[in-house]
Amino acid sequence: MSSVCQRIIDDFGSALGLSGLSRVPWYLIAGKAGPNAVLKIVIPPARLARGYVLTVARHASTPVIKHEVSVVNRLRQALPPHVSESVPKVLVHGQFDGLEYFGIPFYESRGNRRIARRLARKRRLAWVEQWLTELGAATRHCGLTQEWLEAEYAKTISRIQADPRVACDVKRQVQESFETICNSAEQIPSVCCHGDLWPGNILWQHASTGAVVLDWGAARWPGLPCVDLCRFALSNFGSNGPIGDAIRRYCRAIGLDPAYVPALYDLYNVFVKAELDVAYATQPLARWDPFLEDGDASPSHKLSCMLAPIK
Amino acid sequence: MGWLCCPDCHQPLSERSAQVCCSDCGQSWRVRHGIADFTDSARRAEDEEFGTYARALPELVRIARHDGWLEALEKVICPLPEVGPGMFSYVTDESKGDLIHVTNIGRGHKVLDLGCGLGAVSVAIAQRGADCHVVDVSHEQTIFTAIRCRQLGCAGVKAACAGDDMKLPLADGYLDAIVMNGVLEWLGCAERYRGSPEDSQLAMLREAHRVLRPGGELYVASKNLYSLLHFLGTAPDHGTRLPWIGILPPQLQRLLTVGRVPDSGARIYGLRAYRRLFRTAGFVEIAAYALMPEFRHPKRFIPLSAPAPVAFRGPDSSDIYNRRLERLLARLLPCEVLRRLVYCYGFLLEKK
Repeated sequence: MSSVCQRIIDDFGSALGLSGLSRVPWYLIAGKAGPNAVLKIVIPPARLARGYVLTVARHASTPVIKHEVSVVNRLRQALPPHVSESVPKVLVHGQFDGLEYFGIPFYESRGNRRIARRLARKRRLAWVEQWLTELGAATRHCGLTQEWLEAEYAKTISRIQADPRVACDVKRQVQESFETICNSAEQIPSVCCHGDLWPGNILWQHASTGAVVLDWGAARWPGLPCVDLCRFALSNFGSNGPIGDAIRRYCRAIGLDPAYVPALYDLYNVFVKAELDVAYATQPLARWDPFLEDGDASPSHKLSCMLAPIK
Repeated sequence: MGWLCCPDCHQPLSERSAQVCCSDCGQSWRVRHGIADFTDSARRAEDEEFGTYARALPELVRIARHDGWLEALEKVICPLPEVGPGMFSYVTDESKGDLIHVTNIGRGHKVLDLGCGLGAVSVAIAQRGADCHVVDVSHEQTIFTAIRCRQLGCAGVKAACAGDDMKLPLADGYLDAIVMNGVLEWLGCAERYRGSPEDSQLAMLREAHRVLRPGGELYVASKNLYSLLHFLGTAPDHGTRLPWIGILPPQLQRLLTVGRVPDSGARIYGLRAYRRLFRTAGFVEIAAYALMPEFRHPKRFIPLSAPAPVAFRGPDSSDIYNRRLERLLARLLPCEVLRRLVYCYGFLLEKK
């Protein structure tokens, strides 16, 4: 009798026409918390010419798989070839016993370490800035709309306002940010937003191929601009140099006034925390910090910015 | 209550005025809050007298019923000095439930979460669409699990309080699968069972074998006695629970400590001894997994048969290797050695 994982692998193999897939070694990466959690079945390239990674919904009701496949497929069509190479191709999108899954090629993660030694963190930020600029340029749409903002955020914001665990100044800050964005919606372009762009979701390949960006489950298209760059900068601990310059360059490239960036990041951040319900109950909300503007980016400052209790 | 049967003579039970009775042997057991209690509650009350966690459980159930299970955990479990936030993350961590993907548990299967605790795995089983049964020696924990499942939209979870005598109130061949996640090592601590800790483990495994249908699955997750952490001085949940000495056989531990340190009754083993124990109980191994970093917060399930060197050296191994020497050895040792030194194993077994 074979396990659920093994039978999903068999299903994937038969869709790809690979008969030998049922005998290959694999391992399972468990999902994280939250309603959109997914599992990953990793088939390393041991005996096969190439390996695969299958992303499987934890429950039958998990909607994230369909969403991720749809965003990735649309992006690969919309982006220029040299940018779309960084978005992994979905090989199979299927369903097994009520559990939706999709498979992508396995990307060698040892390149991550090698390149980490070679590349300065500053250069990583430069690559991400360049890639996000090209992504923004290709997916840019003129102006957010009030209706879209309401549909995306109003429910979450009213939940935050009603939550007794959230401090009053955070509630006020969130409300102000939302109003700022709503009042100037037409002046803020919408782009495709990855939603979880931290270094762990970027597999650094050899210099010629750049990198592969994984985990598009939290992606929004249309989405808020510049927040991916902020998210990456905040989680790329120990990066040197001012990142305010990078944000200004990005904003200039996609036609966004940098003055809106703090409000955009607040909104995004609150949304992400509120979506992860368990984490939301135990972790404090992070808030925008002026260090992004003045360029003071010492690691301790950034950590405190992300993790210091607000209450 | 139609799914329950007498734990001694295995005959169906009848329900009568807050009691379940066996018409064959004449025994009866109390039903409290809709859950039959087959345990020796008087003995357990003595055991739990000093545990702040056990004392907090009735309050946990009360708040869970009125304000919700998560609220109850935040209000009752988080402030406990003994267990605190660690227990909260342990109970709310959904990744534990991902073990069902390395088993064959599917919709409509009758599955028992044996030693359900506060229901982290039971929820995953119920959400998978299986017919979830939960059994625990603590009546309050069983009620909490049933409440938690119901509040998460999984009504119909069948709960019973049993197991302190290594007997299950279920008919022969009733179940399709049983999950014992972090339970096997503690079975020797049950005072109601008269045998040795090793005997109690074997007795429960044999009982699990009895209630499974032929071809049914048993998933057991437990700690590895010969893990890297135990060799480097972490006290194992075994015998006297002393660092280094705890790795030795219990008789030798007693000799070395001149009997001054009491035997906790907890027992964990190495890979070979676990396999021998399961064979003796009548199970056939389908697969064995290394659970990285550990079964309470698993991030990777790696089949021991798979040559997966990358998986054994994943970034999440640092979650368990806190000291510099541990991290260094985890990086330097060959994968063939590392897979024998992992902290936890999971076994998928089958009743032939």
